Amino acid sequence: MRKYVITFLFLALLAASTVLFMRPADTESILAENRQPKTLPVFSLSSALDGSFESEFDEYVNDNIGCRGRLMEISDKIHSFYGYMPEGVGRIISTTSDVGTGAANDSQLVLYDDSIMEMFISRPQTQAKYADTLNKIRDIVPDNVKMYSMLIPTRLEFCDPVYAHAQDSQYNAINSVYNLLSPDITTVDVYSKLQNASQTEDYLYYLTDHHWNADGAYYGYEAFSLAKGAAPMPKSNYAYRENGTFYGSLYQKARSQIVGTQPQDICFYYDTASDGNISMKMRAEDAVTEYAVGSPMFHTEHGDYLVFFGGDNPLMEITNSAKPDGDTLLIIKDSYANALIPWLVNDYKQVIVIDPRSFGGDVNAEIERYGVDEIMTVNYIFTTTFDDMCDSILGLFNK
Amino acid sequence: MFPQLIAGPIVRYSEVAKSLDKRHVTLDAFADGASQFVLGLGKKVMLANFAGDAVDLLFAASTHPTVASSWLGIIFYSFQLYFDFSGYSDMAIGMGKMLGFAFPKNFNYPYISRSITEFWRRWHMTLSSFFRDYIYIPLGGNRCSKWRWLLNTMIVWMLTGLWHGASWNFVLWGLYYGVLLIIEKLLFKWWSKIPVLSHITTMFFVVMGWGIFYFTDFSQLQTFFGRLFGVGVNGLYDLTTVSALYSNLWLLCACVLASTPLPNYIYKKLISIKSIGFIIEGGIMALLFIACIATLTGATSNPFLYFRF
Repeated sequence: MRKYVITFLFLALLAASTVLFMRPADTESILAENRQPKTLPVFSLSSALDGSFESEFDEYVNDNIGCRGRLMEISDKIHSFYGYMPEGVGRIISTTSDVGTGAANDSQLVLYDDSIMEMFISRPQTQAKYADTLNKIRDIVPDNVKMYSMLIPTRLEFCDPVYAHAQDSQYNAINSVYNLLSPDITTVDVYSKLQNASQTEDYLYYLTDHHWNADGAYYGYEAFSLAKGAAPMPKSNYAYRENGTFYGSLYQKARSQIVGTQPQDICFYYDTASDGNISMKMRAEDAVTEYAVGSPMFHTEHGDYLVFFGGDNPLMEITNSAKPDGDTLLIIKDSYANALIPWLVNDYKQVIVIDPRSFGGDVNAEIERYGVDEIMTVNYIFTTTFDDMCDSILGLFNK
Repeated sequence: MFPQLIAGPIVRYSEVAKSLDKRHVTLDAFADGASQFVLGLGKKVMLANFAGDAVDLLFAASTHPTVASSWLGIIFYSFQLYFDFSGYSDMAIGMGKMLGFAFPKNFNYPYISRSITEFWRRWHMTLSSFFRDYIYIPLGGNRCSKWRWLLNTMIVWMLTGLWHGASWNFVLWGLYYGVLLIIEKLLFKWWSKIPVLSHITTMFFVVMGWGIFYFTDFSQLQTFFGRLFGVGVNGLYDLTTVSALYSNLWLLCACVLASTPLPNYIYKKLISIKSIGFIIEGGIMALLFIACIATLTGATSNPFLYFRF
């Protein structure tokens, strides 16, 4: 009897797992992670040789399995049985982090108080290279163009010291970069602003995403205005808008080990007085869109951080017709700038936004074309630890 | 039909010659093989992969290495290696049984050993016997002068190290075992008769050996051994260490337990219960299989750790 039962059961289990792979993909669980299901990779000799086909196929299989959401729930449950965590105590898990340049660094996440936060690992050599990159840019751009550097700390820096001190000091890293910068580059002290604000405000960053939110970005705007000697527009001039709830990009990496985290509101601030004054266009799409809820600047189709400009774009040109005699600001940035830019657009005639990860043109030509008066690099501190991001930034000027 | 196995026991032609000529696929053997395959899959997915996650946390991305994180990391790595390789060996043997081949056993609870000699009788048994029959004995084995025997031993273990990879750390790892075995045979044969203590010392040296095995870079290796004993670390423990320990506390207990014959003894007792044994066996198989599939869903590829060797 045993031989029949075990043999039949084994074959049935194999057949059932095959059926799982043949069933339509359970895309709901993937969409809940704010991403699209992976598609079948195209086979090529080069992708097979460099291993990318294998890893992409692995991701495809992982995404295209029936009952994926239910299976992952079981997986999460199993994972929770492996350890014991006293209530109120955070935990650390390993992962990798990247800034979309292709390179990935070993990294750790802190899971604490319903939040998932990246732990900063200082890489002094790369940080020095980042500073050197900005200094080289300073030498390249015309002297009459003012240059600013904004480095933004993340939420973990302002958390309970038990967790904040488990990482390398972001404060030290920011200062070490700033100290290496040419005196002709004005540094923006967003750290102090966020540190003070975090004493009284709970949500300057998303709980399960590595970005700051619109409120956090406002402090970046205030710090920049302070560095320039200008008065920031008060937040009360803007209307607060919510645009659904979301799980951030870190959630997928830690979902099996964090219990009880709820999706968080995504919000933005909209200047009702700017209707009709501000327009924007993206290099890839020449269509001009006006400042409005639902425009690319407040891309309400997206219920996550992509609400700002629909994500990262190679070049965006934002024009404020209410300021025909104003200055033009060029921002070289990572995605942290996306939440910041809506606060800046009222103060300039034009804001030109360039993402070094995808822009293929010559920034020198853009500076001349737009008559740029100011340049600001906006990066979160983790970006300074990626060697290839430094290369990408400098590469913008060396075409 | 012949299973193409890229991992598992080293099978000699003589061991499968008969089966190649005339295989006997029986339902009994298929059921045995299926059962062993799923148990092996469970070892790999439910124990080795999770132990590997702990190793990644404690070694690969550790920002502030401490004495405790270094020890905990190498202990988890020891379990990861064992359950990874013995899991795959079980899967290979099970698959062979299903197709009518009888592959040799490769592991026999090596972590319960009370001497290094015993450890190598229990760990990767087919490799040990391969080197014994094809290198050690042709060199003269121990039926020669003492100096010649010493030389033979060191040659065999240097080659054993090299077999694992063309890297100096593997050579060092092989020579490390050569020296340990010589010292043990010459001076400490009596030590294995002392219960508990002999087991602790054996495991200490085995775990140290996995340290040499893990770090292919000599400067990293040196730094790691310093950390184990408090040199160049950020204190005794830190948040990462405590978190890794708490998060994997039951996993660690399960690994310790599964390294002994006790779970297998209980399993065998349960499945031999008259009239319901096979139901228990089937239930365990189904639960383990589903758990493995669920755990692999959404996980990144976790290839066999021993592939590179």
